Amino acid sequence: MAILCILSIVSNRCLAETDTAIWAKTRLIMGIYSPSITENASLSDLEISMNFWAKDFMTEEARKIGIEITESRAALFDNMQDMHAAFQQGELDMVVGPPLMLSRFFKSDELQDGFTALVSENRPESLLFIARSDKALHSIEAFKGKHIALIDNDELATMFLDSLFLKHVRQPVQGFVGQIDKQQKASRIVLDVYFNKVDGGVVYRSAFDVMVDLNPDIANKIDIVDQYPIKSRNFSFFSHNYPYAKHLSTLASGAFQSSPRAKQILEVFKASEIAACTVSDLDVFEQFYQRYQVLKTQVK
Amino acid sequence: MRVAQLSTIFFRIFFLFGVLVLALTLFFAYMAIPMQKKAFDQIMFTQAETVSRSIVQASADAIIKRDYGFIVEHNLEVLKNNSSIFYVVVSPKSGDQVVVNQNSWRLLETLDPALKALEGEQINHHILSYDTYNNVYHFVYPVVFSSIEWGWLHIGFSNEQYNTYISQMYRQMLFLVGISLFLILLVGYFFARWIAKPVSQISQLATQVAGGDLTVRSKLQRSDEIGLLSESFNRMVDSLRESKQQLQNYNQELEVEVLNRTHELALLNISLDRRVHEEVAKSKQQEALLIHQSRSAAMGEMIGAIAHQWRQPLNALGLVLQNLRLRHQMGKIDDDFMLSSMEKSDRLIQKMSSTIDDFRNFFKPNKTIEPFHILQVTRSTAELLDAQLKNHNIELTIDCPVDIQIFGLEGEFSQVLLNLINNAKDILVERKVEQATIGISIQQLADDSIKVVIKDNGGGIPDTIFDKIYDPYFTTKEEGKGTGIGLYMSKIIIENNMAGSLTAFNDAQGANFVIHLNNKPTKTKVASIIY
Repeated sequence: MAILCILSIVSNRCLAETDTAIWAKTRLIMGIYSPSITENASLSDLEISMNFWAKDFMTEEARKIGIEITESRAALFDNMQDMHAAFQQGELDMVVGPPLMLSRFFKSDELQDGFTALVSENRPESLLFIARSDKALHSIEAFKGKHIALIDNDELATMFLDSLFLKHVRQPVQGFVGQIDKQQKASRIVLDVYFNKVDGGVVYRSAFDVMVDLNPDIANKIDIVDQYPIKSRNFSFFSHNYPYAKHLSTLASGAFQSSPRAKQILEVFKASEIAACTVSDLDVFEQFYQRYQVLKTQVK
Repeated sequence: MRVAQLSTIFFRIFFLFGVLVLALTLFFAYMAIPMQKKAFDQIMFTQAETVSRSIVQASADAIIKRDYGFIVEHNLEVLKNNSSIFYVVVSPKSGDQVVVNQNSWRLLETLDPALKALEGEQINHHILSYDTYNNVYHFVYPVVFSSIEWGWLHIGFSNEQYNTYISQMYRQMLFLVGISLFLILLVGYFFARWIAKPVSQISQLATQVAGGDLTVRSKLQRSDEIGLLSESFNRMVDSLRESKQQLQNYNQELEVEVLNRTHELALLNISLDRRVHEEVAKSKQQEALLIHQSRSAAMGEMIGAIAHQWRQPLNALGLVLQNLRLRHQMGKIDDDFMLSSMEKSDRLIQKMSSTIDDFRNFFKPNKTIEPFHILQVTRSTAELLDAQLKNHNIELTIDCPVDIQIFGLEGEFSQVLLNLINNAKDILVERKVEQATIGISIQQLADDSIKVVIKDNGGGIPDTIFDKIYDPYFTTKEEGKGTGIGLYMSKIIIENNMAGSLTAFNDAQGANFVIHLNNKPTKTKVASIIY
């Protein structure tokens, strides 16, 4: 997602083409919810990328079309509440974070359309509930007393798993399964399932696919019990009063199509392309959250 | 004289400087390259050991707990962040081995034997090919926890950095050698020029001086040995100029002196020429006199010999005539007696006539080298003296196995024999030797040369006069009996006219005169003969 922010800066070029005069002086400060992106890219990678893209590459590219970017940086937040507060104080022009978190903390009228990174156009990101294939865990009921793993600090994954259990066994996952481990990375959960350390776990498809690419035997040893499509793990939206959002959107797509450096940075973050997203994309997650709340209430 | 290009001081210094610097550079490179390689090896080793230790420390719990998920995840992260590592193989003593590389990871049931062979108690490393990677620096790190060997960590490192180091090192060395060569050319040139140029200048000046130009001066102003050489050169040129001036003065004086001396010498030469002519004339006169004396002496000797020869036939002829007169007075002359007396008289007269012929032959002026029979000539000569020898009871023997023919001047050889026999006869008579003998032996030696020895038993030549016997006018005979030129002329005849030698020695009986003749025909026409 950090890349999306950087790419947003790159999109200044298109904006400049349409209205050079008003772009004489500008800034782009991104707020990034770090827990959601450190699995794919380390903080150091993110920092390096940001420095390169926002400060060097973007500034240089913008200058070619007559735009002087006076300030461009990224602010990392490990707490969504703090990031929202900074946003409300006008310190951020753009926010990057998981869709569920954004839908919960930001009102739709505070944001305007932005970008998201797709792992693959044909295979959008999903949450997968996986299990060892040799343990006959083909239904949620079969996980009674089993050992499963979850991504730490990922409310969407937690909500997805809990919803499954609430829906199928009418019980929260906590208490139905034997043990729930929290892991920082989805890839680690895949490995733990493969090496039979846990019986099942919730992972993102992108992580699962990467691990299968690294060792195709994983696909033989692990079954997907259930899944939930989410398009992307992170979304980026501009502030509702940021005047250049539309231009940046156009510029970002073009830059990532043509710039070899932009493609390199996508590879670092295991993404293949950039796609536009709208604020209404968050409605799905809001609805999912509402349904989950209903299920919890019903079980109680 | 031109100095060859390769022999110039400039070239030698330049060459020496170049060789020294190049040798030092190459020596440095020769020493440094192995050290650098070793250092790079050590860097690789240290790097590999650090990475291995880091992986083991980070994965310690996972390794002990056999948490392969962590092991794989951690190593994937390590590989992701370190592109110089191709693969990591976690090889526990028991259980599955895990191979993680840049693109994948997998479990192994058995480890490659080539890798297994590298596992030991100590760290091991080797260059090998594994898992699609070639020329890998394969590092094997034993994993030990609390003295318990858990297994091994195999890490394949890219050699690229090492090869880059080595390439850089060689490039640096080449650069160093290149710089050295450049410095050799540059510094060496100026250094050699600095040394050689003044020497060359002084050498050129010296050449000019050698060519006679003493006006040249060295303008080198330096405070070192070259400066001293320059000063010395100038002083030398000054000194040479002064010396030359002095020499010119001396030369002029000498020329005057030489002119004077030449004039004096010319006068002296005229005088000497005159005296030489006079002396030559005198010498010729003396020689003529000597020849004349020799001839006269020989003739005297011959006349004496003839007188002796004729004495006996004359007496016999007288007796014949006396018998004829007695027979006539007695009237007893018959035809037989008359005929007998006439024949006897004819024989006697014939003998006397023969003596005259011998005498005439002896003095025949034969000046051509011709072959003659040496025994015959010896006998003829001896016969001339036969009467005198018999008169003094001297026995003469001739020992000649064969009549040898030799080349030479017959008459002169005969005269030499006559002289030597006469001398022997005289000394035998003078010393009144009883049973006096003169022996003549003639031998043909192996080289065809002829050796004639005239030997007597007269007691020999006294040592006091031995060196003088060939001197002209030297004689031990009473006055009027010897001229002192016989032996002198004999030696001249043998050695000059017959290319032989005449020597003498004493033995127990007396003197031995040895004539040695080469006996080879020559076309020599004797120009100057004694007679």
